[in-house]
Amino acid sequence: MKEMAEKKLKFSFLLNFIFFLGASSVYAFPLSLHSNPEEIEIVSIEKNPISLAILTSTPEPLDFIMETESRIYLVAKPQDLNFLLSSGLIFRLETPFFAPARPSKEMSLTSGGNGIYHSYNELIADLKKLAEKFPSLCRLEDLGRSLEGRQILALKISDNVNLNEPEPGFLFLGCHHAREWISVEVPLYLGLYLVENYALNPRVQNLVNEAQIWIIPLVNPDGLEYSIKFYRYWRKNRRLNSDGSFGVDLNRNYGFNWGIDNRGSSPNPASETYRGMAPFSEPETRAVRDLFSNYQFQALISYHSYSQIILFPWGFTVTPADKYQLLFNLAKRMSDLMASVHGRRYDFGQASTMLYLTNGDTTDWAYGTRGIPAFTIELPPVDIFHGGFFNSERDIQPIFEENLAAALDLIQWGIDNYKFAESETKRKEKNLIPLIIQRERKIK
Amino acid sequence: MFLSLNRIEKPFLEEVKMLRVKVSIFFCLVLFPCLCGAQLIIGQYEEEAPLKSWNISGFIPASSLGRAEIMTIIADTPAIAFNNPSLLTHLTPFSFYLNGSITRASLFRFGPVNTGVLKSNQNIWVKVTAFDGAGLAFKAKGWSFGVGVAITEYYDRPSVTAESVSAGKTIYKINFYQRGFLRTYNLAMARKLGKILAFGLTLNNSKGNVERKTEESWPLNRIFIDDEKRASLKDLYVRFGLTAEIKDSLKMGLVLEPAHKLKKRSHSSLRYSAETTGTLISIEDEADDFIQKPWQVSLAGSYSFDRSWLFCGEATFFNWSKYKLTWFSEEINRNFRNIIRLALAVENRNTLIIFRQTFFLTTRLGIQIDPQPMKIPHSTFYSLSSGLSLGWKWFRLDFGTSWGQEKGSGSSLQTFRSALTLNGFF
Repeated sequence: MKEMAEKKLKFSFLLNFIFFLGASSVYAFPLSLHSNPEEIEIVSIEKNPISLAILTSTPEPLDFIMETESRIYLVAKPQDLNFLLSSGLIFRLETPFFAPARPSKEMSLTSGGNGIYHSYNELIADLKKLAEKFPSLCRLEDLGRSLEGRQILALKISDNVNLNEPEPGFLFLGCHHAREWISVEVPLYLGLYLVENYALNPRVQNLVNEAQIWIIPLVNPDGLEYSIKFYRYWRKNRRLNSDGSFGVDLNRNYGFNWGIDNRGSSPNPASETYRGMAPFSEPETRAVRDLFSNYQFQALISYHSYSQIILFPWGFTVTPADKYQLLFNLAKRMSDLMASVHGRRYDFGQASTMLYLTNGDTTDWAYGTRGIPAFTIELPPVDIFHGGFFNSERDIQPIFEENLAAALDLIQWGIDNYKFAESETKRKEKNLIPLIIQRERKIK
Repeated sequence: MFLSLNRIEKPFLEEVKMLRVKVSIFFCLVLFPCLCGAQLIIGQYEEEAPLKSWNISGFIPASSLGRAEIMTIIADTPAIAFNNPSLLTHLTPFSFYLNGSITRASLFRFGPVNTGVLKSNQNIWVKVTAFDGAGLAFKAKGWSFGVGVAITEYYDRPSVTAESVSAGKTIYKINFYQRGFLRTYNLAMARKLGKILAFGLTLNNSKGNVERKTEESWPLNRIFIDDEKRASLKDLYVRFGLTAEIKDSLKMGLVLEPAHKLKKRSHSSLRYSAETTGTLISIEDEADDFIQKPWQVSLAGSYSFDRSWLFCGEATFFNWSKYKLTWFSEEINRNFRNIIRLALAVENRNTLIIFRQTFFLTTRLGIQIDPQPMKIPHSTFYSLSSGLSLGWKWFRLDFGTSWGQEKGSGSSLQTFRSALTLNGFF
């Protein structure tokens, strides 16, 4: 009898333990966690007195990365994971947000005259190759031609990529300014990472399944080619202006508060910040506008260089935007995540106060017309003395890695925000129905 | 942030020997907005364009220069081995030549000049002076042979310097230059085929280089950027020539140069340095490129009368529509069309007795219509040339000059070339 009871107890304990393990694993981490037992993982745990007490009681000190939004991030070796499991703490696997993405081995970097940076032809070749290799996950959309007849391509990444599903959209833009070569690489690498890791990484799979991610790595192909072939420090597009000068500053050509003053942009065609003859006078900005108008976007990042800074609206005025706190919080979170990767801290703040006044720029337009969080990320280095618009080729990967963490987090935030908004809409609709019925009853 | 080049204002300097020109920058206020779509078209002087004209047919010594560059029909120098080797059969048993020339050309749009970075309100000149040709020809066992070396193409551009100065200190400086040439070694052989015909073949082995550099500096901040693109060039191609001496006074000539590839080993070096922080960034690239030169065919004729007058004409077709090139492994599109170059010339030959010595004096006059291959703009050089030759016994000194005026691009480009050749005939 006694033996039977003991056996039952052991069995029920085992069942409970398995159940507990299963319950934790469903929320905390995928079943494939132990497929690579020797690899470390990055996890986050909700910060509260109980979790703090447990975390500080480990036999060996844990490797803390950062703390943000009431969650503690740490690097967990296999033994640390076992400890966390046995402690009953619920933790979330964050490794995908920090995993380095190596350049795809199949990138078409033949030459181009600019080292391993992508020229226009190399970029087009790589995008086409990617779309051919993963047709169910990504497709290319031709947004139109630049002034000199080059294609402006957008890469869409999603499950059911050929459908326009009711999912949150995200837009990542690169190279409005020709000399900012690094701003082509970061969004391109992001696209490669999402597509190539979809089958390998459940977190990436989840993001791609629940969102429609758009990437335009090269908004200004003519300018980039001129920067490679003729003059490295070229900024604008290649519009031949009526006074014989060349170029419109594409990041002053967007239609929100375009030309509101001559401090945030210039009416002088020879100026580096020449805004053009009219809002969206340039085919390159019209390409972005038209894509934006065809889909629902939750957030936008426009990559630039340099300064190592995250900027949000407004650029045209020092008055804070009405969603200032949200923008601030998102920028801070991205900055923290970026710093956690290689220790490089990106400052953040309102564009007009952190750098200078701008009008007609991408993020003011996206936020001003749609009310969505829109960020300009000025990539490293921090100043002209550390390279300015020059980044060493070996810096491309680290810069991408830290921005990957931020981009994935923003996508996750957007998905959560979209779901919350959806459920709120449904809840309001539900509440409306009894009211309507009541009114109808009253009328009767 | 970065200092805009477009805000630099410079005084304009006259052309000097090394063509160090300070480029005048001015702002033109936009009075009549134009949403025109026309974009950057370099036109005449793309990076690989030879100086003076895209249409190169071998080497042009002084006598030919004075004759509107007609080289397919008159055998008056061993240098014709580069152009119509069959004419070697009409030379003396042994001959030689030495040639020097001065070439000047005006450019409007090239490199960073008038393409958005530096603006000039006038055309800018470049000059190249060179001892650019030498060779000899001889006959043996019924064959005629020629060997020579000459610079057949120049790729020079005006050197340009611009500075931004404030309170007597240079804040920013940019310097641009491009230099290059193609030197061709020539081996030719020819033979008469009966009384009327002569056939010749020339093998040309070309080697050269081109170097283009943009140097920028911010002296106060001790920041320097060098952007260098250079390439070594080589080519091997043949030219076939046929001459028909129909009568003593009437000759016809035909030359064919098949299409060939000028191979380029390209190298790019981009360097940034900031002395205060010790930052040094270097981005390099290399590639095997090529320039597909078009096939060309020339047909020429000459007629002499009264023993002292000679008329000649030449038409040369260039198959530019098949022109292709790569730049760091990427195919570059040049929107080119086929063209026919036309030339007409007249010569007058006289003898002079000076100090009881007999001198042979030849005067020449020629005109040439030289359409350039670009579809946009439709551009043509109209050239006037003249020449003078003074012969004494076994030697002859040739002088030739040509002046070309371009029409069609709106830039009114000009070219000048003067050459002096010493010939010996034994």
